[in-house]
Amino acid sequence: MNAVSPSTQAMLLLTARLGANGRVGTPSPLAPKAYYNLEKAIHERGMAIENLLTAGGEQLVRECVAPEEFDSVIHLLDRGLSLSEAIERWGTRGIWVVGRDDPDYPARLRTRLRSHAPLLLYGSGCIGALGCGGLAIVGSRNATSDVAQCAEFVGHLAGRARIPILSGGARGVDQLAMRSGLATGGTAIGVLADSLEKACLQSDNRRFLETEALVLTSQFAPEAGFNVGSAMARNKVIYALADAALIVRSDFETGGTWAGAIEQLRRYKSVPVFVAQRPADQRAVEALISYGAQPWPPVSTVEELSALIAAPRHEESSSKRGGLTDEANLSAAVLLETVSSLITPMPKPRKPAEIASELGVMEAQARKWLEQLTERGTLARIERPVRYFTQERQPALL
Amino acid sequence: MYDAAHALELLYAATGVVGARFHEGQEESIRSLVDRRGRLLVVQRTGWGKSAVYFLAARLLREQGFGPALLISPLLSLMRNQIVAASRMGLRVETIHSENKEEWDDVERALANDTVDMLIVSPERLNNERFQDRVLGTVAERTSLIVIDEAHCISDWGHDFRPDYRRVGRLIEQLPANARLLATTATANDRVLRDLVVVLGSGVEIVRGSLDRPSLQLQTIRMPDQASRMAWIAERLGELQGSGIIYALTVSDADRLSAWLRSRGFAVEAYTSLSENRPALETGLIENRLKALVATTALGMGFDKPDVAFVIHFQSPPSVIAYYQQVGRAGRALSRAYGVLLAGAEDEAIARYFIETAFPTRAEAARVLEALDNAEDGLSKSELQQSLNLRWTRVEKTLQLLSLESPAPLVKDGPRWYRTAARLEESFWERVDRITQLRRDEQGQMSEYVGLKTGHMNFLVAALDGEVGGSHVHIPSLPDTVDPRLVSEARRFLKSSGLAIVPRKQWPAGLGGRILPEHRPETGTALSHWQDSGWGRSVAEGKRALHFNDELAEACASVVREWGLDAAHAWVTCIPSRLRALLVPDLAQRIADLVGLPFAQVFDRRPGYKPQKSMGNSYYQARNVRDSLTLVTNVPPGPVVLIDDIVDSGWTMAVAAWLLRSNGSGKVYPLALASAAPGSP
Repeated sequence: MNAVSPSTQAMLLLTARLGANGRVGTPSPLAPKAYYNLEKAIHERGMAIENLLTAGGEQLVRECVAPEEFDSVIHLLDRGLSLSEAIERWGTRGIWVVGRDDPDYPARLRTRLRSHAPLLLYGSGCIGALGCGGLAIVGSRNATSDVAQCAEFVGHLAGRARIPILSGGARGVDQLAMRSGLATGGTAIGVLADSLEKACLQSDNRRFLETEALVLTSQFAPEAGFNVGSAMARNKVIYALADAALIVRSDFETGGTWAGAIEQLRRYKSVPVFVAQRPADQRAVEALISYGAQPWPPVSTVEELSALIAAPRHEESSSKRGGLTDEANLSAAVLLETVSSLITPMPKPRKPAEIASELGVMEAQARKWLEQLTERGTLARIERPVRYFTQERQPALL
Repeated sequence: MYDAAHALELLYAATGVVGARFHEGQEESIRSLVDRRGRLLVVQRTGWGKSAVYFLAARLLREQGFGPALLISPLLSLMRNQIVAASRMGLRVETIHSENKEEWDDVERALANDTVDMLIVSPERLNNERFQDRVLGTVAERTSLIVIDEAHCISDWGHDFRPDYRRVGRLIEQLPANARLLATTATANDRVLRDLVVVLGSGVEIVRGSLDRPSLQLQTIRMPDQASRMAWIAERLGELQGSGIIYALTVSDADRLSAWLRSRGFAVEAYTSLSENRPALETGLIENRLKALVATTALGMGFDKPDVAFVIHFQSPPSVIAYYQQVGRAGRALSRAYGVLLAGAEDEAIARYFIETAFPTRAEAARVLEALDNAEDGLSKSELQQSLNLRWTRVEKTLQLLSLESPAPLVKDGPRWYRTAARLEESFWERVDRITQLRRDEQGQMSEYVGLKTGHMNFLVAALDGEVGGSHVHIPSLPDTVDPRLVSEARRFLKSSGLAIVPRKQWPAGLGGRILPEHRPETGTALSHWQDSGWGRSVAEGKRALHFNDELAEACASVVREWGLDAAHAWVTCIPSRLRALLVPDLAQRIADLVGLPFAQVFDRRPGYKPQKSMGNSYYQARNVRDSLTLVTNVPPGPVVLIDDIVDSGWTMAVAAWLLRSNGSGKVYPLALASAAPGSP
């Protein structure tokens, strides 16, 4: 595994439980809000989070947190050996960790989830695969035979179409779809809510991790156990990594699948959401459609599936924009495509100001285009200073 | 903040000398660690005072309210006299290692109560899962200072290969920049130094001093025969002033050499990984009540006696750097001291044995990985033994080394081993080849050193890329001659001292549990080590010629006479062989005649018996004997002498004794010509 970057080290030290699980009066890690406040205060001073680990770190803490929190933040940062023990343990088991500021961190999560993007992401397998999109297939744990059949069939088609399958890796629909896709030679990404470390050693996962057909990832510590809150929180990550999502089955107004779908349809709106027609779940299906989900069309061939998944990729940036007329939308889209063809490929990261002067537009406009191209995955963004480059879209997975 | 006056007070307290001064570089190092969260690499010869740096820094940090320090050292049981020095400055130091299990609970409690200022652990312990769960989880959350002793082991180019340091190196690499870190070594050449800078980060400060030891008079003598070297040492020991250390390569060599010297009236003791009273032995030498300790490398870096007057090597160590370190223990506070290396014929074979068994073979690795691959839920130790016909030490070595890779192709989770998704990379084998080649080169360099007539110290310093050309003491070297009468004495001694055959107490997992005491043999005797310079050669000769000579039979007989068995009921039997049907029975018959006891051949082998040599581990060895050894007549009731030519794993003796005793014999006394059990340092 590559070395963990200093910013990720700082994030882990501040927010992760590392060794002693809170024994011996260790202060609790910072809650997300406290972390973001600290990060914001640091950025306002023109510094970055990793400056906490350098010579002036102690002074920086003093300036950025309330006096009564000073000791506990210093104590968190002093857990260096715990941190390296944890990284070493994960590394031995083939598990990597990236932080939101790392170039390897999936750009989709950053742009689609913004402040809700997980600060840290753990995983095993090719991290580049997380930038390749795919079809999210989600549904409940209890799969009746018709539900299972649907999950397996779509999984099978996606596998043959070489469309990566994204799912929560849970029992039921998740696993059926993933296994079926992997069995046909496809690839899959399991976004786990718990127990990443154990999952990596399970013999059926191991085989596909070995051949790099499978990537397991989680925003929760590899050794963390099951917890309902975690299962809810990872739903948005599944959607954010996908190009499109299919809900194979959901209960009405209850359960993780429902909650995840509603969150996606009402809040993030980053990917088209399809819902499988199932008379027994009529209420849920209708309700989801009323929130903006589309009925899953009768797809029976690899070509049909590919076309269905490919279409929304191009519509994505326009479909999200509300308040504009269709025509304005269209010309904006054409303009964006033109900009894209002018500036890509861009293997070396470049600043918005350079692009702006090249295109002869205001920097604010250039920034907007660059953001849009990043959102749809054409470009990737790195921080400090903000720069953009062409995202590799064909890593080892495909 | 660093308080110079206070630091000096602590130094006075530690040394017990008011007015003591810091050595060059010491104070700067302490200040950097305490005030600047520094990263330091200290390359200084033994005796410079590395421990003063970390003890003082730890103490000062504790006074400022920071957590305890952690010292990672391979030889912690030997830091006892340094711990005493630390306690003089009020530093509470605790150790956790494999030999003080009974203290672990107390240490864990003390750590939980925050009454430990520095914890010392071995790299093996640091990598141990139980330690990580129960101790490190707590300590690592607030470790204020991390000290890596013998840091050269982190580099593949270090002379001292310790697999567990591989993980230590990665731990260091992953430490955030704000962690205080001190790495120390006495033996880093430029190449090792470069490796260490990569691991420690480019911001590391290096404190490097001279390696020269002007007070040492070094010399080398080639003396192939063990008996001659034993005689030489016995002859010189009386003439040498003061006390010192004699190094041997294996435990059994140290045991025998010390027994020989005691028989010549010298106050010496063996000091090995098997010695039970090591603190008392160290004190005995420190207080000059002992003339010498006859030690293996178990007597290591931490041993601090300023007036060691001589270091004699009974065999040559595997590298000149290891030699420099061992001989460097002499004459730290003396104006002159002797370092004599006696090079023997067996040295190379021993070195080769260690080199060749240091790593798993490709076949071993493939078989272990395959077994784990096929397991649904990993394998335990006994399941591994049953599914692999490999020597357990080999399986263990494979598991250990592969699990230290990152990502590792196998990991231990609780008591079970699991295969991971990671491949065993080709780079692993390239590393194995590189290190093996390095060990061979070092062996070559060692024999070059042995051949030197002059310039010994310069040679050693140059090997470490140190600055050559200091002035050295000129005292007469010791004569390289030896009294032939003493040599014959030594040879007689070698022939009369047997090795204990310790009975097995437990059947291998899967073949039963404890062996009942009434079914075990007594502690028996092997006349020699396979091919040693006592009886060893006669035994090897006898196996070739299919006849053991009468001298061997007589030597066996004298062992039996010493046992003083009940002459009215005792009898003699032997382990049969299908291949050489008469070799051992013929010997046993002669021994029986010599001691006047009846010989009865009660055993036979069933067909299908395979040579015990081809059995990989305890499970297969014990099963092989159990399935093939059989009684063919009634067992007489009295005590019985059980004879075999070579003992190795001890399973043949265990099964034979069990058959004899459960069929009505008296006590069983194993007797063998030679032991082939491999030596250990």
